[in-house]
Amino acid sequence: MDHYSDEKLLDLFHNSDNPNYAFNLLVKKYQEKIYWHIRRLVIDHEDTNDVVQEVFVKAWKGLEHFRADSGLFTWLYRIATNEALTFLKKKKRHFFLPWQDVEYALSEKLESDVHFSGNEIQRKLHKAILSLPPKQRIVFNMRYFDEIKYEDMARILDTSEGALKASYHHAAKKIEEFVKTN
Amino acid sequence: MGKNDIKNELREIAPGIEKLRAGNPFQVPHNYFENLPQNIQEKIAKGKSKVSQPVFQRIGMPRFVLATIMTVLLVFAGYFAFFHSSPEIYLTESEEIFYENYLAWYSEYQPDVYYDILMANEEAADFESLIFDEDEVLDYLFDYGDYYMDYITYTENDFEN
Repeated sequence: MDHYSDEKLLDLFHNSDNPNYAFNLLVKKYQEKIYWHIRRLVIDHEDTNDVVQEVFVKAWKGLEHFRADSGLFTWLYRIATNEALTFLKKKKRHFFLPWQDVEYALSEKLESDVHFSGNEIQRKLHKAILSLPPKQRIVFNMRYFDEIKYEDMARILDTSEGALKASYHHAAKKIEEFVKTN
Repeated sequence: MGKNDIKNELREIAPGIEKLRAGNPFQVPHNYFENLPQNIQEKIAKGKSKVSQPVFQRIGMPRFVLATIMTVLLVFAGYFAFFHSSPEIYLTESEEIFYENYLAWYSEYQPDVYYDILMANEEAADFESLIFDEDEVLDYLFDYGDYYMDYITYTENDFEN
């Protein structure tokens, strides 16, 4: 499917009679990237679906004031990351769990998830990723799966490239060790 | 930095996981992405119907009037909080008696009884973690009716003396 450029989408949203149509095109363009980014963090499809919908509702509300200083994708990714982290924090608070237990619950979810079709080694890889602290997990996923440049990640996560490189390096080493020893 | 650079970087840091990247083991329900834009539009439409006006608009009051009323209420609330926040040590028969008042009074004037009250809570591990149930304290005081009768017949002057 051909997608409009971000500039064209924003122009359609701001200046056409039908902003819903423009927004629909925007959702179609970015929904899969945003979905997979969130899915790798929250694991469960239903939870991911809730978070994804919340991300786009927030985008709809904020798009009117979006000035395109950062790219549209950067902006959406930032909303998605924040929403996923907020969701995990809520889960932790709701069940009075420390992070390790939330991660354990997500890891258990992988075992029973009907929407997970990976083999044993893939399951092990994702369990290893779940053993990371949330921010390291985000950095690792963005680099390892989404192949996002450090420069763009720094803009999305509002941090320095140095910090991201260190996080990714540390996370990759830990995952390799986890996969070897488990 | 291109995809090859990302691969090379991973090969240097953690070669053991470089090859595991292939394939996406997660799946979505059938036609999920086809229906998602429509679901999002429906959620946005629902949200629109729920959007409510700010309070001052809903009650048809200019913003500065509402702000003035809120300020006056806050001043009164602050006044009462300030002058009524210290524990009521000196109680009279006519005042409503709360268990905090009992405890405050006993800790001040009958420390041995206060100690007994604390010990009555067998589950308490230490003084600071004690959380009294109002019924427990009132039951205790009911069982020690003499103290209770003494207490309610004290007057403010008795305490001061």
